[in-house]
Amino acid sequence: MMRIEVKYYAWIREKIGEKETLEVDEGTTVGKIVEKLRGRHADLAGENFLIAVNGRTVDLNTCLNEGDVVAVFPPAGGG
Amino acid sequence: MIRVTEDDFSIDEVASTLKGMETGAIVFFLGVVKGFREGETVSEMIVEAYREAAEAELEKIRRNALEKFRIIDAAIIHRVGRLKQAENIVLVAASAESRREAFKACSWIIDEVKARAPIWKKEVTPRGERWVKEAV
Repeated sequence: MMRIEVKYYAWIREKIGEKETLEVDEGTTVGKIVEKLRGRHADLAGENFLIAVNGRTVDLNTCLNEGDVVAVFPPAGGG
Repeated sequence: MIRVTEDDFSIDEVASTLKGMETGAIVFFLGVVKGFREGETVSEMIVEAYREAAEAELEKIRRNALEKFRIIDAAIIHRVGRLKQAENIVLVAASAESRREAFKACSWIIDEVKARAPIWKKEVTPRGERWVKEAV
């Protein structure tokens, strides 16, 4: 098992909280984390959100490593 | 120049960083807090960013603009924090030898910032706070 930190932003942070630590299997992909988060948090159901790992946007097949920081955030809304 | 900051900015200061020997035009876009939207008074705007990713994305947009248009340089500054009506939110500046490319680049850059940068706005209205879910 390994630990990863998940950080939330904007309206997602207000609904779920600032961050949480998850214990997941070695070799878990970003896609698996997305499934896990949707299962844990009803507020994410049907919502469009983006994922970055250690500050970089990644695709769903990317494997995570111990200590990675996964950011979960809404599509852009600034400017 | 790329900056995500709580602090206000000076357009003159940004202009001075963009003025070189070949610069003939600098076009600016300044976004400010609107006091009224969707039928309601907006007293404040709370701007939040996923800071490290936002700065990286703004730099990527600047580089894309330098490749796409015949401009000399570009600057993007986006503020975060609680901003009152009429305060500055975002500044885009594009410098070029002549105005046409600078206008085009400036317009393209602000559209890309709205579409790509992980920055979000929440409006404070008399009925409470609401996230602006789509770029406006």
